[in-house]
Amino acid sequence: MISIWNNNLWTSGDIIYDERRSGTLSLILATPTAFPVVLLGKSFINAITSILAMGITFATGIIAFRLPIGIADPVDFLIGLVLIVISITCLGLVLGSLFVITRNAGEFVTVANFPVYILSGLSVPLTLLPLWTRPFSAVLAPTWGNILLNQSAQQLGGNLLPSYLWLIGLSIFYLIVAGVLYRRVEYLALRAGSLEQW
Amino acid sequence: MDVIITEDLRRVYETTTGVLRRKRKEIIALDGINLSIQGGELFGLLGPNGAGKTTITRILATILLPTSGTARVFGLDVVKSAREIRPRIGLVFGGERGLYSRLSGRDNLQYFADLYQMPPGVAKQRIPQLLDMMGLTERADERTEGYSRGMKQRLHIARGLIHDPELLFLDEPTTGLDPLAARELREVILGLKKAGKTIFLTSHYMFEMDALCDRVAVLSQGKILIVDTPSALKKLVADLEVVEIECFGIPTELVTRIRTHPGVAAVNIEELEHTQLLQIQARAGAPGTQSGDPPAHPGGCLYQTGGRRLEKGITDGPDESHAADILGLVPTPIERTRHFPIFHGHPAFPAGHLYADLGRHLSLREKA
Repeated sequence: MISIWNNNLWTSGDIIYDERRSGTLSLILATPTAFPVVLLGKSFINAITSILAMGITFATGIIAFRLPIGIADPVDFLIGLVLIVISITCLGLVLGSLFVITRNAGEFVTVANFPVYILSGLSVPLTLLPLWTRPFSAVLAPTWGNILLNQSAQQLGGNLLPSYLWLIGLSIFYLIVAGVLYRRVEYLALRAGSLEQW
Repeated sequence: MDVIITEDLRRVYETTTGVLRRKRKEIIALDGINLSIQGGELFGLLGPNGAGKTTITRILATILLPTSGTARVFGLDVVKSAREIRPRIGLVFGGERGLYSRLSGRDNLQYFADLYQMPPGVAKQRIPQLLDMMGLTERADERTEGYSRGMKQRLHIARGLIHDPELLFLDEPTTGLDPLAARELREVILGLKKAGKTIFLTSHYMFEMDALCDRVAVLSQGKILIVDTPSALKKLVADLEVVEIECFGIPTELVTRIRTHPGVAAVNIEELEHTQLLQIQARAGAPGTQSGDPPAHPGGCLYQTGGRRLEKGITDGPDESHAADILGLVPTPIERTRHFPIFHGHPAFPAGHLYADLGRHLSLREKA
């Protein structure tokens, strides 16, 4: 989960940074295609390839450490994985808007990275966190992805539907936020003349 | 019909100085620009570095917002109707940037064909045509990181033309190209004009404007000084000539000395890929500008291009052999350089002194 999240987050930023550095960011913005659509395509392909990282992690556990890694419910696990990839791609799109507006977005994302690990239960169980953090956890796709993968892999029981719905709902929410943000961010970048700065 | 109209266009950049006590500073890039450009016209914007050429181009191409004033392209406001304007314009910047270096030339074009939402069938036909037009067919499937600067620049133009735009912005397309590649590119631009495209070209080469443009606006410090035909503009500077010398590592004090010389109107240094281009504008007939054989200087190699000679070679025709010699960048030993008359014999520059200075830096290049 951490590898998918990290890979997608940084790739969204890296894509924009690379476009900025190679001088293609302004050329893309000069085309009729909306930039979020361009970024969405690139981020999605990257999210799919990031699943390879999960495969490598599994393989390392099995081969190097001889850990008994089994997936109790492969169908639910795969459905969950697809939803996670979509949802985190959409979240990456939201964060990617930061990279359009400033070349220093990498620093902000670095600072935000570990709180996301904590809030989404990737580093400590959610039950250990104070109650006031729950709303923040709820709007992070990795939270529901983590719950979903754990439930389906370990067959912990319980209804998976809420997690599915949360991921679908969050994906739509992220897309709407990204759409609004990019309009604003494009305006600010064009006003500041910062598209070529890197 | 006017394709481009600007009214009192102004652009101010904000910058800050200092770390703890930050101070805001405003830089006026454009100051009250009024332009009108007709359909089918090849319009040139001439000015030195920092004059505001790229800023105007970006505003008209909808990728930079003006601070005040209006700019209309095809009658549409560049701020409010950017999305309607974008499919109808092509944008080409000079230099190495603006391409995906790990993609082939063909894939670069394919990608932008997709971004311009071209039907696959149309793109499939158009890409080979453009590659052929730009002389890139043979290397179309190689990664662009291996392309020469001239090839990259031609690919830039192909990219700008991929969606067959009505209006093409060319921002210093020949900057940094060797004279041969620049000449080839100018031929391409003339071909585009003949094909009926409206072209907005920026450059800091007068001879380029003269060879290509129907009308030229001279821009300096964000203001348009004059708009006229190249022939009318040339009459205004008939008593000036320009000598360009390609060299490197020119010391600041030498440039200052050249700049303060009474026979010199202006000096500009352009940074090329590996060298510098020293451009000296001198008043014809001023002290120290008499022609003659330059003093002998041991060693050193002067690459001399451009200036009046180049302009004449390209525009007037009869001096083609000389132009070819210059454009081919044939190394000319200083002892045999004939077209470097500006400082020869002037008391401020003892014979051979300037040549020796330049020669030393040029010699370094030879050794390197």
